[in-house]
Amino acid sequence: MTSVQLGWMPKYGSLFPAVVFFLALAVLPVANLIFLSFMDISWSGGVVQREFVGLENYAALGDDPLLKAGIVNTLILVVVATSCQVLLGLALAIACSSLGHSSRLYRTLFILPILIPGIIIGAIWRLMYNFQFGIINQGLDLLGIPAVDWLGSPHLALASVIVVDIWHWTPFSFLLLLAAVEGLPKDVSEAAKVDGATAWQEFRRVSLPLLWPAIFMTFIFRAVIAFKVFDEVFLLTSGGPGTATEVISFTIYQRFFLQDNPGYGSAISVAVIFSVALIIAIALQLQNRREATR
Amino acid sequence: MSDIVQTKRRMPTDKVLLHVAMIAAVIITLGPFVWIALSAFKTQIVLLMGDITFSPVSYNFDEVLFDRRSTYPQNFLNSLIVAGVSTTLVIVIAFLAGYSLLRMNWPRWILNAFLVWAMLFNLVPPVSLASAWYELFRTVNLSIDLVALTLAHTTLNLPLALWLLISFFREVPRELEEAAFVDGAKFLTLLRRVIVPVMMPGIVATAVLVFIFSWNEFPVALALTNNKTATVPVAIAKYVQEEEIKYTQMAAASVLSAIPALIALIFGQRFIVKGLTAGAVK
Amino acid sequence: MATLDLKDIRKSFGDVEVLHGIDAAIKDSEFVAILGESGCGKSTLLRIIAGLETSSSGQILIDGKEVSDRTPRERDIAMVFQSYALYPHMTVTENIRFPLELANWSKDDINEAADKAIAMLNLQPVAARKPRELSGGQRQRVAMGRALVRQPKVFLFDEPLSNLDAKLRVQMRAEIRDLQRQLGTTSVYVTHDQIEAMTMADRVIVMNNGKVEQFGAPLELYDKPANRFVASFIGSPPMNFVVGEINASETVREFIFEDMRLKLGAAQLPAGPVIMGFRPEHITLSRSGTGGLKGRVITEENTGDRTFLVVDVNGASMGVTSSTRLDVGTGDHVTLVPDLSRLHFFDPDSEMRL
Repeated sequence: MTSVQLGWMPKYGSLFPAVVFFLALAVLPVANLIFLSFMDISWSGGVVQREFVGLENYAALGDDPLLKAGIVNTLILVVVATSCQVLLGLALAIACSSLGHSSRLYRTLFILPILIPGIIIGAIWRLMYNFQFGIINQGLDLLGIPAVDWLGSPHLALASVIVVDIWHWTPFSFLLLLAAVEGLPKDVSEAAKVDGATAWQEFRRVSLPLLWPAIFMTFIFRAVIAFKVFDEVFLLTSGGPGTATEVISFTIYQRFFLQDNPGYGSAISVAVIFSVALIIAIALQLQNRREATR
Repeated sequence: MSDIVQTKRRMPTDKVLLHVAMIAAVIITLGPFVWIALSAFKTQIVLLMGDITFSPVSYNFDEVLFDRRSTYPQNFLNSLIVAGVSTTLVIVIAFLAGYSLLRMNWPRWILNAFLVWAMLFNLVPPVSLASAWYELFRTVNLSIDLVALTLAHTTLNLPLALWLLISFFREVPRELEEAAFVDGAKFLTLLRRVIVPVMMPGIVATAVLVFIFSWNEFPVALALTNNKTATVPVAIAKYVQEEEIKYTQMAAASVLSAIPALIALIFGQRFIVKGLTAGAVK
Repeated sequence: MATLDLKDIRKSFGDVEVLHGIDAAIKDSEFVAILGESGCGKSTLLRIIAGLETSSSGQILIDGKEVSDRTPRERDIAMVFQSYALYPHMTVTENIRFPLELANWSKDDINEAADKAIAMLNLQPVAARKPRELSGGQRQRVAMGRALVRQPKVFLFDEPLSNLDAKLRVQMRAEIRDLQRQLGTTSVYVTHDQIEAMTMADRVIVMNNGKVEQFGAPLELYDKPANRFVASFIGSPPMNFVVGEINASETVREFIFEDMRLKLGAAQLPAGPVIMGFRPEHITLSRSGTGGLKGRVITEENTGDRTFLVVDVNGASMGVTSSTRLDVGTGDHVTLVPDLSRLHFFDPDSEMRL
C-alpha cells in the first residue's frame, strides 16, 4: 500500500546501494574465495600463476598440523571461555538486578572492556603478563611466589589467553543476560514467593527455566565471537609457543598472508565458514526441538 | 524498587555483601586499564624495575604524538577517516534499505534473504573476509588504499546496522507514516521530517556501535593497509614486532586509542546498551 | 481458618506516606473487599499483607500471631494476581502442583490435592496445556487453583477479574464467591469495582488517600455512609448533595434550602448549616409542586428499565433515577421531592455523618 503511493523510484532506489554492497563486496569476494580454493596460486616474475588443482587444497587440510592445533585450541577456548563468561555474566546480572538503581555505576563501568580495541586489550595484558615487570608476577613476588612465564610456557599460554578472553567478553554476556533478567515477569517471581519458594527454589524452578532461552542465545552469540578470536592472540602470543595458542583465524592468516598461499588459505576459510554454519544450524535445531517438547 | 525497600529492612548484610562483590568485579574490570594508564607515565626503566612509586613523565606521549618519526598522528587520522566515513555510509545505506525492506511491500523472501545474510555474515572470521577483499582490491589496484579499507568496513558493519535498524523500525507505528502521507508528504520529506526524528535514538545507537567496531577492527585493517595507511590497532600491533619493544610508548599509544571508547561510554552509554542488546534480543 | 488483624499499618515511600495507619479486624472465614480508586493504597496494603512489601510501621496478625517480619512463605497465604502470574514454562497441572512441591508434600498427597483442585475448577480438559494456550477465564481458574490447593490460612486477591470481559466477570464473580463459601477460607479481595465489592463481600473496607473511610457490610455502606466520601463513592449514579440549614424550633425541625422546606422527624440534628444528601433513586418527581427543589431537565437517558435525568437546580446538577417511565423531556420544569426517610446529613466542616 505504501509503495503504491510512493511509486517505484523510492522503493528500488532505497534498496539499491545495499544490494550493490551485498553483491560486490560480500557475495563476489566469497565466491572468489571459493573459486581460489580450487587453485594453486604462485608468483613468478611479478605475474600471478593460477593452476586449477581441484580438491587438492581441501585434501591437504587433513595433514596440516597447524590447522589441527588451531581447531583443537579454538574449540577449547570457545567452550571454556564461553561457559565461564555465561556463568559469570549471569551471576553479575542477577546481582546487579537485585541491587536495582544502586547498581547503575557498576553497569556503566562493566561495559568498558567491550568498547576497547581487541589489540589494546592484547597490549594491556601482554604488559601485565610480562615475566620481568608484569603486575601479575609482581603480585606473586609480594606473596613470595616465584615469577611465572605466563605466555612463554606451552602449558600455561592457552590458559592465559583464555583468561584474557573471559575478562574481555564477560561484560558482553553480562549485558545480554541483564536484559533477560530484568525482563523476567515480576509478578511471576512474586507468585513464587507467595507460593512458598525460598530464594534458591525461586531461582532454580522459576527464573532459570524462564532465562534458559536467553542463556542459550548468549552462549551462541559469545561462541561465534570467540570462534573468530584473532586480535588478542596476534598480540599476546602469535600462536606460540610452538602451536600452544594457535587458533583457526591465526592459521588462516599465516597460510594466506604470511606464507602467501592464497589457494590453500582460501580452502581453510571456506571449510571454516561452512563448518560454523553447520554447527550453528544443528545447535538451533536442537534448541528448537527442546523448546517444542517442553 | 519495592524489592530494595523490602529487603533493606530485613537483611542489609546481603546488600553489603553484594556491593562488596560488585566492587571487586569493578576493580578486576578497571584494574588493567588503570595499570596501563600508569605505565604510560613511566619511563621504560621505571617500568622494567617494577617500582611501585614513580614520578610521572609525559615523555611517552611526547614521543608518540610529536616525534618526527612517529606515525601515530597519521594512524589516528586514518582511523578517524575510515571509521567516520564508513559509519556514515553504513547508516545511510542501512537506513534506506531497512525502510525499503520493511515498508515497501517487497516479497517476504527478500527481507529474509537480507536477515539471513546479516546472520551468516557474523559467522565468517574477519580474517577470511580480509583475504577475500585483499584479492578483490588487488585486482583493482586499491589493496592498500584507505578507500579499500573504508569500503571493507562498510561491508563488514552493514549487516549489523541493517539488523539493528530493522528491529528499531519495527517499533515505529505505521500509522505515523500514513498520517504523514495523508498530510501530503513526499518520500524524502517523510524520511527527513517524520521517520528520522522518530528513529533518532536507534540511529545514534547504531552509529555509535558501528563507529566503535570500525575503530577497533584489526585483521582487515592489517591486510589492507601499509605503513602510511595503517589504522590505530595496526600501529599498536607494530610496536610488538619491533626488535626492542617500547613498552611504555605502547602503553601511551594504547591509552590514546581508547579515547573514542571512553567518550562513547561517558556520553552514549544508554545508546551502547540499547544497540548491544537490541541485536541479540530480537 | 484464620483471623487477620491489621494494626496501624503505615507505609512511606521516601518522604511520602501512602498509608496513614490502617486498622482492620477480619474475622475467620470472612470475605472482605478493599474498595477504592486507583492510587488509594489498596494494592500496597494487600502486598504488605502478603509480605511482598514491608510496612514502615504497624502489625499484621494472622490467627493472632504477629507475621510482620516474616517472608511470604512463612505466612501461609495464597494470592491471586491481577495478571494471574502463572508460571509460563509449566503446564496447568504443574502450576497447581508447584506450591505443594515447595511445601514438601508427599507425592500421593500432591496428586490427590492437585486432582481435586483441577476437578473442582473444571480444568481437566486443559490440564496438560501451558498458560499461553488458555483463554482468560481458564487462566483465572488456574490462578484460583494454585491459590486454593495448598489450603492456606488466607486468600489474597488483587483485582483478579479486571482482565476479563464483562460477561465472564459476572460469571467468575459468582464462582469465586461460591468457592470461598465452600472452603471457608478468610479472604481479602482488592477491587476498584463497587459492584464486585458489594455483591461478593461480607464486609467492605472503603479506602481513600491511604485511609480507611468506612469498614462495614455492603448495605451499611449504602444505607449509612459514614461520611460524605463514602456517600458519594457508593451508589451509582452518585448521591446528590445540597448545602442548607437546619432550623430547629421547639415544635418542628426543618431543613431549609432556598424555598424548599423539608419537615424532619425526630432526628437529633443540631441547628445550623449542614450538608444534606439524597440518592437519585430516592426522589419523587412532580411537574408542579411545592416542598421540593425546583429545576429544569438538562438531559434524559432511557435504558428501558430505568430512566435517568439530570436536573439543573440553580446551577447545580442533580441526578434522578426512576424505574417507571417518566413523562418528561429536556427543558421541562420539574420539582424534586426527596424521600424524607432516606435523607443523609453531614457536618459541613468534617463531612462526617450526623
